[in-house]
Parts: sequence; C-alpha cells; structure tokens
Amino acid sequence: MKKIKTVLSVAAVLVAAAVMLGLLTRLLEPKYATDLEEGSFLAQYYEEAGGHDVIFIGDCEVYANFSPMELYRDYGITAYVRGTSQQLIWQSYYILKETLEYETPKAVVYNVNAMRYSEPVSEAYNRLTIDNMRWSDEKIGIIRASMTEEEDFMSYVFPILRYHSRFDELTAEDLQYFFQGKTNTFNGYQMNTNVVSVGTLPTKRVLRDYSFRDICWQYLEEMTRLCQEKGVELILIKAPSLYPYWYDQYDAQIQQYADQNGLAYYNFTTCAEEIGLDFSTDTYDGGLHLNLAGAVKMSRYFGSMLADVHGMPDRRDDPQTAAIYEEKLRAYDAEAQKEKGTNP
Amino acid sequence: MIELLIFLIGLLFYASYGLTGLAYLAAVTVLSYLAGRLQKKLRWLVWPCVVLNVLALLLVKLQAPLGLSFAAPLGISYFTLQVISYHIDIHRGILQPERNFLRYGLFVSYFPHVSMGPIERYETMSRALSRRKICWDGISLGALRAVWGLAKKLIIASRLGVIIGAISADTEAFRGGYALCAMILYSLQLYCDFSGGIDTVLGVSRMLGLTLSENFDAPFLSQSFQEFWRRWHMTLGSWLRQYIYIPLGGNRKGKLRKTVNLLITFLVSGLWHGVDYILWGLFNGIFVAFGKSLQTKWKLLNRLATFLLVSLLWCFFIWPNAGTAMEMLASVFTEWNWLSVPAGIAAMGLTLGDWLVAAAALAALGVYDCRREAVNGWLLRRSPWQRTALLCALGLTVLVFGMYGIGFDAAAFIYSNF
Repeated sequence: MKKIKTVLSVAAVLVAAAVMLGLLTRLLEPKYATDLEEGSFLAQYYEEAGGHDVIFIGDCEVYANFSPMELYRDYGITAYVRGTSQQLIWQSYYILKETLEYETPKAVVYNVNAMRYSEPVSEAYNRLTIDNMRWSDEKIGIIRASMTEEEDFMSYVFPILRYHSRFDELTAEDLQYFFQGKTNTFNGYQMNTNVVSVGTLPTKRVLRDYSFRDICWQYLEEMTRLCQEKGVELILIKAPSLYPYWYDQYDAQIQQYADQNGLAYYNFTTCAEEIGLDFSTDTYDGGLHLNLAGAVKMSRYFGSMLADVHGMPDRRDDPQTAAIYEEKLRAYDAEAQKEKGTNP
Repeated sequence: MIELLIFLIGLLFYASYGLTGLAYLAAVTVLSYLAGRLQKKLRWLVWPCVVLNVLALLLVKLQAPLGLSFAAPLGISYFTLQVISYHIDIHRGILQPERNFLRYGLFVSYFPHVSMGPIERYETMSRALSRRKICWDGISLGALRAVWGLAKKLIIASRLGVIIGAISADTEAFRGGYALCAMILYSLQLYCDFSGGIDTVLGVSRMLGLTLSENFDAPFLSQSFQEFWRRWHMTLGSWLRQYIYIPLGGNRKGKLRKTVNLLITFLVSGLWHGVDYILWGLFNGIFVAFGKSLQTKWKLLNRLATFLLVSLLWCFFIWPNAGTAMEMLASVFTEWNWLSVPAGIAAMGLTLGDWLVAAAALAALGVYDCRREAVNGWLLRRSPWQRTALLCALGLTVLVFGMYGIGFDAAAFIYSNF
C-alpha cells in the first residue's frame, strides 16, 4: 500500500511538472501579436480552414499584395493567403501539403519569388514560418528541410529550449495572448496603409549564373505533382515588386517550366501600369511590397483573371458564405478606416 | 550486466569523438591490463608502463613546442594518471592486479568521468564497483546532484563566460580594471563550470549506483593556498601528493627540500594543464610554500586574500598564452581605468535580468557550499515525492534560466580541454 502511494505521489508530481513545463513554454514563446506579426499568420488559418476556392502560397509578396477580402468583394472568390516572411520553396511545399490535408481548393496560386533561394536563410525566418504550425508530418518535414546548421530539431519540439531567455523580455502581451493568439490578418492578408514612395533602388547587378538550383526545381515539381494528384490547378505568379529584381532570365525559366507542365504563369512585375500601380503611392516600403491601396488594385486585377480565365466561382449568392464574408468585410473596412486615420 | 552496458556505452561515447582516440584508449586499456597482470612476476614492468604513459602525455602537452599538431584522445590527461597510479600501486604492493578485464576497462574508460575526472585510484574505483547498488535514494539524490551541476554550469558559468569572453577577446581595450574583473569572474566561472561538471558526473554515477570521489570542498572558503589546494581539484591534488610530492621526499627532508618538492609538484601540475600553465603552477607552488606567512588572525581577510590571489593566477587560463597573461596581470597594477569598468561591463551582452539571475544562483551556491552537510542531510530526510518535486523545480529553473542554445555549447566544459 505504501509503495503504491509513493508511486502515485511521484507520478502526480511528474504530471504537475509536465503541466508546468507546458505553461512555461507558452508563457515564454513569442506571441507574434504586435511585434513580428508574421509569426502568427500560418496559425490563424487553422480556425478558418476549409471552403476556399483559391489558396495563395508564398513569401511576404503574397500576404502583403493580395487581399482575399477584395477578391470576395469584387468577384465573390473565397481565398486564403498562406504566406510567411521569406517563405522558402521547401516550406511552401510542406505548407501546401498541409493545406491540402484540410481542404481541396480549385486553385493554388504560388509566388515563385523563392525559386532564387536554395539554402535556408536564417533561423529567425524559419521560426516565423514554423513555430505556430500545428504538429503533423508536414511540420516535421518542414523543420527537417529548413533547419540551418546551428539549429536542432529538439528546440522545435520543446520551444522552451529556444525561447527560455525571453524571461526578462516578457510584457503584458505575453499574458494577454497566453491562451489565444491575436488575429491580425484578413484571411492571411496583412493590411498596411503606410506610404513610402519608391526612392533610389540598388543597382541591378549582373549575376554570374541565373539558373535556379536543382533543389528548387525538385520542390516545384513536387508541388505540381501534389496539385495534379488532388485535381487542383496550380497557378504560378511573380508578385509585383521593384526590388529584389526579378531578372528576365528568371522569368524565362519559369515560363518554360509552366509551358512544359501546362501551368499558367503571370509575371506581374512587368505590368504595373496595366494593373494601375503607382509606386509613389501604392507601396509601404519603397517598392518591395504593396500597401492597402496597391493590394486593392492588384487583387482586382488578378481577381478578374481568376474569375474569367480560371473560372473561379462567385460565392456571393451562397447565404452562408455571404454571411461570413460580410462580417469579415465589415471588420476589414473598419480596420482600413482606422489605419487610414493613423496613416492619413 | 549493467557494468558491461556502461562499458559499451563508454566505448560508443568515446567512438563518437573519433576512432583514433578510441583505438588509443583500447590499446592503453588492454596493454596496461596485461602488464598489470604480469607485474607481480616482472616487477620491472612498472617502469616501461609509467614511462610510456608519461611520454604519451608529454607528447600531447608539448605539441606546440615540438612543432606537432594532432587531436589528443579525449580525456588522455585523466585516464593516463589513473593508469600510472594503477601500476605504481601494484608495484608498491598495495594493490592486487585486477583479473576481471571488464572491471579494469571500466576503471580506465568509465564514460561519465573520462573527460574531466574525478581522477580515481584503482582501489577507490574497484570499491565503488564492488558496492555498486542501484536504489531509489541513489537515483533521486544522483539526479538532483546532476541537475544542480547543470544549474551551476548553465545558469552561472555560461553567463559569466559572456563577460570573460568579451574582455579576453580584446587585450588592447580591456586591461587594468577590466582584466581584474575578468580574473575574479573567471574564478567563479571556472568553479561553477568545473565543479558543475563534476557534480553531473558524480550525480550520474550515483544514479548508476557508483559513489566516486569528491573533487571540491567549498574551495573559496580557504584561508590559505595550502588549504585551497586541499579543497580544489582534490583528486588531482591527491594524485600529485601520492605520486610526485611524497616520492620526492615530501616534508620529511627539511624545509628547503620541502619547498623544492612543493615547487616541483606544482610545476608538474602546471605542465599537466599544458605548457602555457607552467608559470601558473610555479606561482601556485610559491604561494603554497610561503603563503602561510601571509596569513592574518582574521579569517574573513584570509579568505578574501586567498580568493583574490587565486583569481589573479587564473590569468594564465583566461588569455591564450603566458606572455599575454603576464601582461594583463601587470596591467591590473599599472593601468587605472576603474571608472569606465562598470559601464563597459554593462555593455558586454548581459541584461540586468541575467545579472540578477547569476547573483541569485551564486547566493544559492554560497549557501550550499557553506551548509553542504546540513543540506544533504535535509535532502536525505525528504520523501520520494518531495525529492521528485525538488528535482522538477530545479530542472525547470535550469531550463528557463540556463544560458544555452544557439551560440552556446552546453556540453563543453573548460576542464575537458586539459
């Protein structure tokens, strides 16, 4: 009897310690609520997974430049952006794979900007993309594919190993968003109304080699295969930006790949005028990303292509969808007004 | 069965550092085992055994002056001393050669202590193996000690290492007061790092049912250099006493010989650490030989003076060579830049939170060192769940307040470099 009591009391202490470990981990993890918001973008999807006709995948050029709210308002297209900062192509692959576990959209729009990167860039960017993903085979895959040399897998399994030193950086925000993170996107779109006109851009360097690396092609092929298997149309795009430069040689390689695989490819860097973009007013960082005004123009332009060329359905007549999106649009418009008030 | 398992894990552990090192360790183990068995009949065998081991160790330590460069087998400084003591003890007739190869193999290659000690004599290790018993008390107290060791290393030593690293990296900018601060902080860092590592070794061993020798006994409470060396790296001190100092005549042949013997012993200690530490050994020898005359009747003053002098001599450990170390030591007395030191150190990468955590952990360490017996007795009286709770609390404290992760190598201990 005494032995059983001892074993039970020790087990109870161990369980309590495990709970404490979980709570400490949650407390110390960055909440990505107001600082480095991008770290919370992927997690926000899980609450809203399902029912989207278009999924955008890619780096900052998708979550800053394409607004699903505008796509719905103008064309009734239901869309979600699964974009993160500096999302590398192997990360896009696993994010796509994960998304297809939750839903089967009609089209996946992939921004090919990441084709230029063949190696993990930095631990910080990896964290922004991976930290808030739910545990799955895809998360294990994305970690293994993304880790830089200095990182280790265990610190993703037990984030306290990475974030323990935040004990003296904790703020009220860490308590406020302890249980529930902050929703700071509109279907994955990050609103920004600042205006920073394009200034002097760095000189366009001549590269020694413009060819994309094998690893990037392999992942692009995997993404194509995944979409084919699920009967999803894969649309390749290069979002509009003035810098980093999207070289003609890059464009030609993607065009050739798209032609060979029967995919649509749109390079929006060359049709800013047609879209109506004015980089003196439509960008928040001097031409790298679009602000709300730019995203509205971009979304309207691309929305018409999605509807007319790719046959994305208009869901505005569906009462259930309309109810959801009307509420979202109210919040979206209110936020836009608020932002404009802050950044007139 | 468990001994075989520990032995095999040890070999795997050793192999992970390179097969050359494993081959050397295996050769030393097999040859010294066979030589030990033959030593009873062939007493002269002790000399080749000792000489060959000493030569191997000298080759490692004198690499730079000899113009050589190779990776020394992990823990060679430690297991070589153990093997030498084994042969000498057989020669002296105080030890029977071991018949059981597994047991001898464990003595040489026991993985928890192979890289930083404690340096065991065969008699102690053999007794520990004979009395080996895995029990709840051993597991819980061993785990607590191992985690306490990690706390010393990761909470205190790693933090102080940030400051010492910054100061030692720039010998032009950080001299005088900075150098003195580095030496004092290094005392604490080295103690926490080395004794923390030893705590982990002893804790893991205790969990496996083995009670190994203590290596530290609150050294900063020492009132003289002599006392310090009885409390610091005790197993090395004991080895040097048994196999260098006493054979040289110890204190049995007059004051002058005693002094000379002490100096030789400390020179050997310095050389054991490496060529750049010979001067450090010599200075320690001088302070041990003549330090008694500097003692006052005030205990606290004696302790402070001993701590300060010991700290100053760590200069040889902080800077990359003896020349730079002497230069920085001299700068403490010649360059007066004290006013800039607090602001300079505050900008070296530790936050206020880091300093507070380190100070709190040092205070806890001080209390433990001063009241070790009382704390250990209190721990023994705790029930299993209370010990588990304490272990979990200590573990979580290390997890949160330890300094590890990117940019830190939590598995690297200063003394595993010697």
